[in-house]
Amino acid sequence: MSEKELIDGCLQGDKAYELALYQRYAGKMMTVCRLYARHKEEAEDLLQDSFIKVFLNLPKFQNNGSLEGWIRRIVVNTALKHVKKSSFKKEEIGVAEYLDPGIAETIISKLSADEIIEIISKLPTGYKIVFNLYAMEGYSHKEIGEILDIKESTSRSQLVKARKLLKSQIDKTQSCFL
Amino acid sequence: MKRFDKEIKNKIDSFESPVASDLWSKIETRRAVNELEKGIMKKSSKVLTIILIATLLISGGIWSYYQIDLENVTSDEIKEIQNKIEEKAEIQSKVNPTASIEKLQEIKIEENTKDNAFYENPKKQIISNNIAKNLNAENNSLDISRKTYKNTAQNRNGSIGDIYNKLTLGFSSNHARTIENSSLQTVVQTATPIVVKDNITFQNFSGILPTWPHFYNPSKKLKLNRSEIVCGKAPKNYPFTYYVDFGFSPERTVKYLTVKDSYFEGYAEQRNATEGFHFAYALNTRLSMVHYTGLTFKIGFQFQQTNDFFEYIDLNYTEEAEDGEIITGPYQIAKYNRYKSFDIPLMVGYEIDINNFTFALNTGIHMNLFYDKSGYILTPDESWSTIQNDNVVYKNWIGTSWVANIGAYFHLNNRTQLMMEPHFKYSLSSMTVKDYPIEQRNFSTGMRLGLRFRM
Repeated sequence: MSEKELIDGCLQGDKAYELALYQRYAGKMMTVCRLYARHKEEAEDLLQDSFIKVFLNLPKFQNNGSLEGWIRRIVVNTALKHVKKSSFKKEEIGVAEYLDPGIAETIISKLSADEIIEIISKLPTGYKIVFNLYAMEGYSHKEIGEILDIKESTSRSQLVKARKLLKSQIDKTQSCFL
Repeated sequence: MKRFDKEIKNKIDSFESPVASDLWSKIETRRAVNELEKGIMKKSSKVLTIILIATLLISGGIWSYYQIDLENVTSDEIKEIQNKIEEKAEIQSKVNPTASIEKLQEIKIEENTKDNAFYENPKKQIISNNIAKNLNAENNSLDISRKTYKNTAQNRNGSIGDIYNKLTLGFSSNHARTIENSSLQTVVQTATPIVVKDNITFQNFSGILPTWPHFYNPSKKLKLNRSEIVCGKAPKNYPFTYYVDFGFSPERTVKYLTVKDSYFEGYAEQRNATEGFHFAYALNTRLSMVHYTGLTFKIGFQFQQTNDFFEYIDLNYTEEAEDGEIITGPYQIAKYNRYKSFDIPLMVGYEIDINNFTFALNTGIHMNLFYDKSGYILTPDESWSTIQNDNVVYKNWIGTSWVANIGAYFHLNNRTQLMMEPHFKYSLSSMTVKDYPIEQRNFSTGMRLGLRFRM
């Protein structure tokens, strides 16, 4: 089924097409959600909210870019808003320790995608968001600064720290298997 | 992008995470609930619209009922009414202050019989009723008549009856020197029998007097100038007088924080320690509709800005310098936060004139249209975050606030008044969103200064 057929079917309110759209993108979008969420349940909540927005706003979708890219933007925006809100909630965020870096980047290849996602999701919120926006979504520091309302230099330093922490966490995970 | 980032991106970019099997049914349920809520909202907004339209129509109907009847008074109608008044005066000329009750009743019956045909026309009825009230045709008692005059004298809005009253007194003053330079109350007492006995005619009367608020003040001396007669022009705003005012108010705001969970008590304390309200101000314009009884209705627009100073030392602050060096250490954040509120005031009150002042007591609500904010706020994890219009901390629409004021309006001239209004405003509902752990209500107080113009 082509993307256009999928969109047209959904716009006509056909439940089968809506389910097909969900099934096509749910897995990939769940990965995006996991990158921003602190745990699986939160990621599922994010995915649920995102798809509700997707179906609500589908009539506004213009075929300028890919449907997947459009859905991904909705997911990222939903996640960002949620992350900001959750900074005012009681839920405890795992406090990350600073570990010494010193890991070969090739180690990444030895870890599964699932393991890497798990490590990223455990990063402190500020680091995680900057890293995701920069490395995964391809935003520049200037754009990240505008999105998060922080200085460009703060975005840079958060990214540096995120990388260091990520490397040390990957190293730690790797050494567990050795 | 560094190689490390690329490797991670490549590894997970196309990865599909497993999704819970019941998630789709959850999405379906949520969408159905949303649709239902949307339908209910649509329905209730329809009901509200109908109520609003009905209210407007009824208000408009009441307004036009008075407006039309008195706006288009023709010279023939005035003549007819004048004749009627003459007729009444003739009847009343038979009244002797010492007359018996039986005699008064007899006169009353005669008068009522003559009035019946005349009152068949509703328009004449309204105009005549005003006149009748002032002449006290319904009660042939001079004592009540005096009271009626006094009440009329307090009526600042000018009905036909009032105008007739003024005219009567004016003519009376020409006929009787005794009322010159007397206070209105004295004039009333003296004028009433004169009106009756002199059988005033209106042959020279060719118009209607304009309304002059100061004229109705009982403590004021009677000031009637024939040059004030505006020919053929009826008072337009009966029974209401309309004012428009423009005000500026320096204010002080205090915030009240209530934690939803004792876990956040420390956070609330920290918020109080890091934020301090400073100068606030409000600009407003209102339209006031003052009924002749003194009852007042106000509607308008208000802009209020509250400035708050956020000051916090972040001990774990890190920043990358231009040369790539990471700087860590304490960092002091000091910034003015701005909270802008756009409101519609809806108020009811009571006004009274004393000498050159009008005093008022008003209360009502401010309906918020939009709440705009910018700046920084402390987060529970001792970090700091921006305040934006994203419904994360503060609502974008903060509902209604209770407002009240005491107004003192000094009459600069017949149309312009200097306005002084000590006032307060209190948020009836929390200004923060449901998910935020602390409820916040603001209390603002200030002194509104401005000008009020009679339309």
